[in-house]
Amino acid sequence: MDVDLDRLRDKILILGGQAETALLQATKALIHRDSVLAQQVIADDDDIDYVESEIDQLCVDLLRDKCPVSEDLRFIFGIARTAPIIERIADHAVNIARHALKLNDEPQLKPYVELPRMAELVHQMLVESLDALTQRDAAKAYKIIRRDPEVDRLYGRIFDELLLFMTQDSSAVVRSVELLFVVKHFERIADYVTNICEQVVFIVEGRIIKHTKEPWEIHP
Amino acid sequence: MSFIPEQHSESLLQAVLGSLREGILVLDTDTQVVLYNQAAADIFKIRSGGARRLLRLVDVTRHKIIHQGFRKVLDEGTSFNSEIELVNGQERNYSFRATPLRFSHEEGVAGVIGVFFDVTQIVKLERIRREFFTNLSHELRTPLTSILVYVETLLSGAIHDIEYNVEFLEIINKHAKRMRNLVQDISDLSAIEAGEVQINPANIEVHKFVETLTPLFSADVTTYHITFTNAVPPGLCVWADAQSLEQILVNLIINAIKFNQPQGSVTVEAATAGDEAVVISVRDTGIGIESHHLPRIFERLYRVDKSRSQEVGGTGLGLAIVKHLVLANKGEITVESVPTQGSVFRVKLPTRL
Repeated sequence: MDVDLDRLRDKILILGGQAETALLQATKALIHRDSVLAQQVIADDDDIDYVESEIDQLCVDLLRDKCPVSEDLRFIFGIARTAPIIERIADHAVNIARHALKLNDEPQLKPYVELPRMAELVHQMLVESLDALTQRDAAKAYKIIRRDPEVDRLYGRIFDELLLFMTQDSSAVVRSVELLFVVKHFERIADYVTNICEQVVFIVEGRIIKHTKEPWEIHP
Repeated sequence: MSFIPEQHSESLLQAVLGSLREGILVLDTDTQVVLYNQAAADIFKIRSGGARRLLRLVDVTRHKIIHQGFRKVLDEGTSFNSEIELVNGQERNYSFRATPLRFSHEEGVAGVIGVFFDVTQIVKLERIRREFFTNLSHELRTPLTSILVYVETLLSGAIHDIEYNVEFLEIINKHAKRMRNLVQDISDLSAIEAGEVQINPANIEVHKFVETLTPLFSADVTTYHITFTNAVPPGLCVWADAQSLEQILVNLIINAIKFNQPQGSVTVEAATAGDEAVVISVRDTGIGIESHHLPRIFERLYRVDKSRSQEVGGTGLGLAIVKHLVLANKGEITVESVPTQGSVFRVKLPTRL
């Protein structure tokens, strides 16, 4: 059983690593206006989908063949829920890369200042959530969940700024809308990161903290 | 004092591994980490101690290529090479080589040895080299294309068109001069780098020296409506080569004038920095430089704003020449800038001891 669980753990963390790379490269493609890199992110996504299916199958096989109980069962459930979350994060990274391709063909709206900050914060949260999963560290997971409002604040600020651009200059509307989509994708990724953290708490402590107001409140 | 290696094999192994700059990771066939050195711990931020069980490769890194590489070596028994990027706070490049671990008394592969060699600097230099040649061909091609177009137009009959022929020749002349300046700057730069430029340091009184330079840029001051001030306190001296110092200051001052705003100002200041150095500053109220460009502005042909540079007609090598001349005079150059408010270039030069 331990060998199988190790295999499952290896797979989910490698999937996480692939999502980390996709997000990092999509951000670089956008900020450094590198369309070749954006294409690379889009091309690599098939592999990510394949690993997610492998994890799915592995979980089903383990549940059917090994009849896991207690902690092992919780771990398999947690991983089965986490894999699609990570896959969706990679999908958002692909969408950012697609918007980067469009934006890179146009003159830059203005130097990106807040956007790299938001991207870095979201990337850092993703890396730390996967570290929390690696180390089975629930305290770290709680800490990351509490950072989500920072992302929401940055999202609000960039949103307002882009609206202002659009009202001031009609030629900036198309590019601003593209960027609005981009920041929305980053904001969604941060939400998914909090979902990964919720699964880490479930795996380690057996608590379901989804839909609670505060991460330390236990679901009734 | 000699020692018998067999009696110290464990300590010897640890000492050798610890002294390597390359990160070493050794895995068993189940991808458990059985050995790593300090360099690997630094690269992958491995926290030592407190581990209840052996680390697995996923505990060390989630990098897909590293996992693929180790897996390939274990499955196929052949070595694996790749270049990878790792982000741990900052982005670094590594040459990653994995080879099978075999013991003479056992059959098959017992594990895998991964070596991570930091090639960040090499990758950076390669990028700079590639960009330099791309930019150089662009810088030469642009004026050359204009020259060819106007020569062909003249040959097709425009030479007899008295309304335009002189204007066309002037354009050809302007572009040919631009190419000549670029070639001149390239040869200056390579001469400075090769140490072929003679540096004859002398005691130079900075205030008077700046005064003697003003005729060299007074035309630009008038053209761009700039106020130039020599605010260097009289009496301050530096120990430098006069010709180098002239080239350094004129380059910086002309940049400060050209990349300024209308009615802007350029001020040269100086102050002592301890007993052994003087810092000469060239301050402008210009368009400024965004912070992400600052680390690269002394690179050859690096352009902050391509269209603006074309407009003011620089070769893109001025700041690279300045930097090398400052270094040749045992000095240092730094820059500070606030976009839309201006920049200040500071040249620190030694004084005569």
